[in-house]
Amino acid sequence: MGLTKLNLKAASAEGSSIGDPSLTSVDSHGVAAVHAYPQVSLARSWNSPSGNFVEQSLQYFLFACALSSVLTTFGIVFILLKEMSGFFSVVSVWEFFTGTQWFPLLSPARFGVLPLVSGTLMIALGSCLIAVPIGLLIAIFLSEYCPRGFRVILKSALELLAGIPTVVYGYLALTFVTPQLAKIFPQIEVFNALSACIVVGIMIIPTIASVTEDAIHSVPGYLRDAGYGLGMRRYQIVSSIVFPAAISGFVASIILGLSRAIGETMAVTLAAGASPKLTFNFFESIQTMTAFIVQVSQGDTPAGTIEYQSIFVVGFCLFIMTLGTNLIAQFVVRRIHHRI
Amino acid sequence: MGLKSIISTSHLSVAYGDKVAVEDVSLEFESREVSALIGPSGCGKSTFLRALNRMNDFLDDVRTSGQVIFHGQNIYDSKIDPVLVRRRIGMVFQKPNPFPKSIYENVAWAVRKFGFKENEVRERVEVALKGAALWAEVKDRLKSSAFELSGGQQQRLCIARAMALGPEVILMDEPCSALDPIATAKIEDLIAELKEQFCIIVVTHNMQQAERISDRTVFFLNGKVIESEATSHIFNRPREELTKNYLTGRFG
Repeated sequence: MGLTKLNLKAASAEGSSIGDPSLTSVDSHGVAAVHAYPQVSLARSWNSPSGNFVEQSLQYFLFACALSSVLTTFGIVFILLKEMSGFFSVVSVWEFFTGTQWFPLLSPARFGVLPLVSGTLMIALGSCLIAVPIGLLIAIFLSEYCPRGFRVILKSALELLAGIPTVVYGYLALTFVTPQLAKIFPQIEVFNALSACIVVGIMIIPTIASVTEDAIHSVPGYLRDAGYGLGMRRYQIVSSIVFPAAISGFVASIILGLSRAIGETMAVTLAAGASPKLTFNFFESIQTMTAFIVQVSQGDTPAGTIEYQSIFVVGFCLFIMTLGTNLIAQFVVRRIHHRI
Repeated sequence: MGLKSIISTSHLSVAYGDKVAVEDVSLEFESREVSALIGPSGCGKSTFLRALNRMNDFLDDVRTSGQVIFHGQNIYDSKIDPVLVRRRIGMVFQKPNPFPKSIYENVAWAVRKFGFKENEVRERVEVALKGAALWAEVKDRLKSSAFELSGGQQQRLCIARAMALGPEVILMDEPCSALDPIATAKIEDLIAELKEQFCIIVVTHNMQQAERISDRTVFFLNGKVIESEATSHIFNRPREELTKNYLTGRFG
């Protein structure tokens, strides 16, 4: 009886018509019995109390949120392409990609992007050379060797390192790292790629360490047990079992670090200077793609000029480079997984 | 201490923090014999097993007292290198845990680390895989991933992996609990064969399994050994009332 009442209530709440109200009756033995079920509407209705409206609108809202990121990406690419078409109507694509001189603000202007690309690559590779080994070793120490008390300290130190504003790294490079380097290498310039590599390297250590540590940490304990059960030492288990199992995370961390180094702006602008040069001498001043964009954006270059348009082209190249690294990362990670 | 006993414990106790998991256990295990450790969940049988090759060292807050004598030496002595102990006392775990490597490499890896040359490694891998009754099934695909094997095959691979190092004792922690009945039967047959070469100590929650595979059965309850007897004896005429009640399913 109670159950039947509940059903009827639910049915009316659904806004559907209720069938014969006298659904319960007393049978010949005088026992209350249900002869038929009340009619309950199972049809879709947008305002049902089960939250259909909420569900629907939430779905549209979430879809709109997701769509906004897609639209933003296309919007940015569209603007970049629009400004680029103006640029390439004056400068030939060939000259842009093969030219070894980049003097956009001089007259006659030269728009060969290679010096900027080399500058960016120097910083990206140089800083990874510093950050990848250190980050990996920190990750291994943290997950396999670190005593529990020290782990907390080390992790917070890394988080702190990641929280330092990049501009601080920039002037530290200029006012601290370069003078120290000058003691060892007297020929070093005031603005130089090496000090920028060092600080950008320090900057991306937390990224590499924490992503790699997560990957190592997620290697199941039973694999370690298996290794110990075979009488292996910890370093053997770490190097032959745990690290190979975590390698996709390690590769991902390198790529993340690389992307960050490529996109890094403030520290390299301050530390490495603004002399676009096709060089691989780390003691010299160079200019990265990002530093060039800062230089032009900060100056009073009028919109619509070729110099102004050049930053969009350089920006687009940066975009392609980071996209490229991410795609390579995905490919590598998939290959590794496939092999295992 | 019997002359034949290869590994024995003397007043062995293991505690996690305040909780005593194994209390004052003195047992002897002999070569070429299968011993089954039975008892309800949480009775300390797995903890005891892991104490025999110092696998408990990796758990936090574990205190072990008493002795485990292997080759006349207490393996908990401060002079002992636990790694060398584990090389002679192998272990097979509850869940098959092959490495994410090829079938061949799963067995070869540890062998190679002991400094064997590659042709010797190959030989040992083959002998171990044959010993674990897996060779016929995998000899044509040694290079494929161990994860392509079925659960039962993976567990036999883990047994092969332990055997390849030539241990004297193999500890098995509920080796069939993740397997289906057919795979379980194969592992049980394998244990019967391995008995010819090794001292095997198996933890099992399955009393029928203990009866089928073991020569001797040790009944644990609340961290203590209630009874340790020849299997035929313990299943037919248990000395202790508690053992009888457990074996007849009064509690579990």
